[in-house]
Formats: sequence, C-alpha cells, structure tokens
Amino acid sequence: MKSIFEANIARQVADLCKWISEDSITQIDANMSLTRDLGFDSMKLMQFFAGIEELYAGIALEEWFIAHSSGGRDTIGSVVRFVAGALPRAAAE
Amino acid sequence: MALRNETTLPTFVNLASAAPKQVIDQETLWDEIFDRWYAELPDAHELGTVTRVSRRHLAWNPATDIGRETRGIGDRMKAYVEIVDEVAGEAFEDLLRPVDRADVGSIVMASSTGYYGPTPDYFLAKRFGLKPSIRRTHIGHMGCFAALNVIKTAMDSVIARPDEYTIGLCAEFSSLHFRPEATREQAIVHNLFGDAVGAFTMAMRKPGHGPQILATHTLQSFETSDMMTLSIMDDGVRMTLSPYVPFVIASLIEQFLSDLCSSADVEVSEIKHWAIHPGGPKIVDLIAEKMKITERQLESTWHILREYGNCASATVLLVLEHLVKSDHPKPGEIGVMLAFGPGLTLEGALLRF
Repeated sequence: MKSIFEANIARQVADLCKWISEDSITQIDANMSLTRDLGFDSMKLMQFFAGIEELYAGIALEEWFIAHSSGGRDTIGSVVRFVAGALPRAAAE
Repeated sequence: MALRNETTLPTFVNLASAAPKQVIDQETLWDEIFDRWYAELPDAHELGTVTRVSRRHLAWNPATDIGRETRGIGDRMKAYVEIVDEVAGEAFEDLLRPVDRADVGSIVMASSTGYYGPTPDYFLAKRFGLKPSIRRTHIGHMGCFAALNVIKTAMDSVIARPDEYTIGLCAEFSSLHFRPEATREQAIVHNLFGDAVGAFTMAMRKPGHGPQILATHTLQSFETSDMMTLSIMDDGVRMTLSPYVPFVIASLIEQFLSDLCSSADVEVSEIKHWAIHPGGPKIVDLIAEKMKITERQLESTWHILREYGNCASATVLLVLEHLVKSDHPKPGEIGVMLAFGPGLTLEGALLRF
C-alpha cells in the first residue's frame, strides 16, 4: 500500500506535469511515460527537472534519468519512487 | 592515450572541408515539403527554429528528390556513390595540394550514411594518384562521434610510421536518408541534420605546425544504449534521438573532461578553445552551463550548427577548422574537441595549439 508520504509526492508530480503540459493533459497515471505518453521534449524535461528541484530541495534526477530514460521506463511512478527514496537521504545530509 | 611529455606529437597539419553545392534554408524546406510531411503534428513549424539551424547543404532536396512518397535504400545508396566522390574529392584535393603524394601512407575514412565497396577511400586514392600500397581503413556506422575514431586511428598510424602523412575524412550525407515519417522525433532529425565532409592531414610534428593532440578519451554509457540509434530501413537509415540525450551528456561531461585532462596533466580550467559537436542546441547549452563556457568560446560551434546543421561525424572537424581560422589560437593554448553519438558514447581529444 502506498504511504501518505508517497501519495503526496505523486500528487505534486502529477500537478507539475499538468502545469508543464499547460493543462492539455488532465488525467495523469503513474504508468505514464514522460516522453512517450506525455510527449515531453527536452525543453519540457528541463522544466520538469527544475520543477522537481524546486519542490524537493537537494533532489536531482540525474541518477533517475540514467537508469530510467530508455525503453519508456521514465514513468511518473518511477519518479515518485525515486523522490520518495531520495528525500530521507537528502534530509539526513 | 596521453602524450603531453613528448615534443613531437600527432598534429593536424592541415584541415579542409567541403559540402554539396545545394544550399537550402529552413523556411524554404518548410514551404516546399515539411509543411506537408508534418501536417498532422501540432506546432510542427516551430521545429524549424528550435534546432537553431538556418540553412543546410543538402545532396538531396527532400521536396524534389523525395517528395510525398519515400524512396528505397538502393536509390539512396546510388546517390551516395556519386556525391561522396564529388564532395570528398574536393576536400581531398585541398589536403593533397601542399604534400608530396608519395609521403601519404594511410587514409582513414568514416561514414554512417553510405555503403558500397570498394569503399570511397579506394576511389579517392586511385583518382588522386596515391600509391597502390596505401593503407586504407573505413569506419562505418558509428555515428556522430566517428571523427574521433578516425583521429585515433590516424594517430596510431603516424606514431607507428612517423615519416608518413595520414589523411582522415568524415563524409556524411544525411539528406539521402530523409523519410516522410510524421513523428516529432523524425521531424527534429530532418530539421537538424545536414551534409558535409570534414578532413585533415595528420603527421608527427613539433609544436608550431598545427593543433597537436595531447590525449584522447572515450566513455560509453552502457545504461543508455537505445537513446540514440541508427537503423537501416527499406527506405533509408532511420535515426532516433531521445530528448534525454542532452541531460545524460551534461551529467557525464564534467567527469569526462576531468579524466581527459588529467591523463595529460592539464587542468580543465586551462581549456580556452572549445570545438563541440553541436548534436543539438540543448546539448551545447547544457555543456556550456555546466563547464562555464562563454558564448564567445562557442562561436565556431554555433556557426557550424547555424550554417551547416549537424553533419554527423564531419561536424566537429568543421568546427575545429572554423575555430582555427576565426579564433586564431595562440601557440601553447589548450583546446578540446568533443563529440557524442550512439551509446551514448562521449569522445574527446585534448589539443595544444
């Protein structure tokens, strides 16, 4: 079961995606790929990375995109899990 | 490979380039064909400007040579045979002018846009009267970083036989592979890539005869193999380009440059001249941001992107040629060549002018 902590991150990431897509996408699903389903190009990815850094201080997505950018694995859910895992480490540092 | 302590080093003693005579600007391409190819893509027209390419030299005009129907790979390769001999021959002739042809021991050539055998370097050697014992190496299908494979093979050649010249050539004609596939990715590729030949003569020389190569370095990012691909289709070579490419390159570039420079006992901060393969504008922007490179230092990189587009493996040689002519690097100054391509693979060469 997803924790409240992870559900909050999921909501914030979904809102960020909607904002970047200028609300042209209304329904965001955890299995959606940023590039294949949401159609993010490099400009929009840049906005997304900046948005994540602004929402979660100390979180950079470099490790995430090296591991998940191929084969449509760049899903919203994978971002949420990465952020949820990285936040406690960032807070400890 | 690091060679800084040697006084006689592999040196670019001459640089040359050539491109197809047909020059087409982005507006014309959109008016004449791309508007129809990409009619179903939202905001497609803006792709003509986001690449920051103004005009390109193209062997094939997609409006008249391809049109609304695609063409088979056989037609495309037939066109390659003709254009490579014409354009590479032009660069080759420039390189041969100041040297005694009997002293040219090797030719190394790369291309990812055409195939036939004997490979084009054979016909160039024959046409320009090089000796029948000339060593030839043809490097195929490695993509945009292949200039560095050519350079490294040429280095091995002149180090092993220091009395000889080696000629290096990168010949790319991506326009022969344009295909009317209405996806955003393919629209970007067709708005970015152009045709050109970049070439050099390399020899072992002391300082003062051209840019010397102090070190080279390679990095393969094995986690990102499908980010940039080249596949042969029935109707041409299809290239894919993930929007993550600039970010992956930017995340690796600092360590890459540090490894390249430390192998030659050079500080990254000593690099004054940057010849960067402009794979796309975002790649250059992010590298510049990460490495604090000024717009002035990027003038040659942007110039080649604007005037020629991304000419695959030839591009970084065109950038270096322009940089040498326009920046007038002072003797002893340090420069770098960087190129990227399928893998992702990062390639670099550290230069001393």
